[in-house]
Amino acid sequence: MSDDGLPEAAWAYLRALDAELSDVPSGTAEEIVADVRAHIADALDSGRSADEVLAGLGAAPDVARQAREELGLPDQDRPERVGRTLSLVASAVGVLIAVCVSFLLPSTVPVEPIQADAGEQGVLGRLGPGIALLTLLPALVAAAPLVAPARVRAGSRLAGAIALTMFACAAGETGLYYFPLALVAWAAAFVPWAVRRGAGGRWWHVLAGGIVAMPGVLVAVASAGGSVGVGWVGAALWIAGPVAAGALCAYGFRAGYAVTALAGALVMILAMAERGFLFAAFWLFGGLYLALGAAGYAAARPADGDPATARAADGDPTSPPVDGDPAGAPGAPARPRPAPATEADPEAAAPAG
Amino acid sequence: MDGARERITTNIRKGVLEYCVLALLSRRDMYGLELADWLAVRGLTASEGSLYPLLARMRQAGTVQTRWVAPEQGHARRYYAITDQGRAHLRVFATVWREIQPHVDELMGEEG
Repeated sequence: MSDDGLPEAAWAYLRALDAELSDVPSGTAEEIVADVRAHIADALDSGRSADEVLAGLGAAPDVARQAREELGLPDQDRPERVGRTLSLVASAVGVLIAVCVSFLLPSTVPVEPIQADAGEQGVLGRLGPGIALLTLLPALVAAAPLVAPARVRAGSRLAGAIALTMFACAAGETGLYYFPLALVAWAAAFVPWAVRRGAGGRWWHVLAGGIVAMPGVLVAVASAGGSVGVGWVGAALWIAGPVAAGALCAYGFRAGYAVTALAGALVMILAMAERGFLFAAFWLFGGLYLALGAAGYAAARPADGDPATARAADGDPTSPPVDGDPAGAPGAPARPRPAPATEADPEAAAPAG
Repeated sequence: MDGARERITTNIRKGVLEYCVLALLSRRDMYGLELADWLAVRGLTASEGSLYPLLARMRQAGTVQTRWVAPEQGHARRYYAITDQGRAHLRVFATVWREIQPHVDELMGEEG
């Protein structure tokens, strides 16, 4: 068996290790992953089973912890950091919505559905009956995972997402305002789980980029068909903007996700200020942008801006040239990263066996 | 007691593993799996995976260097070699170790 034929379990391990090493300088992370990949290939060649080899290596988070320790980096579990970032975003969105609902729309707040929500009467009692404080309750639900003990944190994110979705669906018009919060809460529940499982490959970014670009494409199609008149300023804003942000997201650029999240927040604020025709559409789509942008921003790798290009730039890793780089400085020429078998990686694409 | 044993083992390994690697590489160049197997069989490293972050750091520190060797058959391997700086570190460690070891042995001998 050669390096080309690593079993799926080995690829999954390498992907998980790669994801766990996200806060390690990218050159060093690539070296470690390349070494571990060679180790697995050599060990399989020597007749060991994949399970045996992976057990001998130790769990990917442990190897990553070792790396952070060796390199003097702060020890923090990456999925946990991602979840924390998204819970913070969700809390901020919750506060923003509460401000909108309680100050801009004081008449639309029904008290009953909030009281009925998720058994939070204890908190409610302490906060007192003020309507303005009641509107903050969903934000507190979103913030709860930040203070929850580690072993119930993932559960509290999922429970929060479910509770906020039920509230958004049950609370009529007020619920509509909280839909974006529910979306971000789902991102906070789902993304850390996906990151822990080693997801985050190119196809996630392409999917996110496609959704981000969609409004631009729709407007472009509508204006080309003549059903919507769009001036060049409008074209730049509603066509080029989403398409450009979508392209950046599809390539896995963190900045693209940041722009998307900010654009979503801006659209929400403008929708709230205008309260015009199609308010709900703008509000929900702004919320979707915000949730998607925040999720992608939290999950995208910070150090090596563009994983897609880094992979494309890889040479054939099975016959690398002499690597005369004794210092092994961070940012050294890219060593291959493990890639899902579906990607255009010469090794991964080769048939197994 | 198992927890104490694990903690003590971890701490001692932490202090010596790097120099065991240097000593091994001072005999001959080795690739990752060779090093990992040698160390794991002798209980000098808890998991084989933890060796690679150490090697990455040693590379940055300049005590080892690497080269890829592509054999005619099979896949390429990254070989690790000790540098002059690595040999210097190894000599210092050996001196310190020889000073400390007899005293520790003497005391531990009393423990049976």
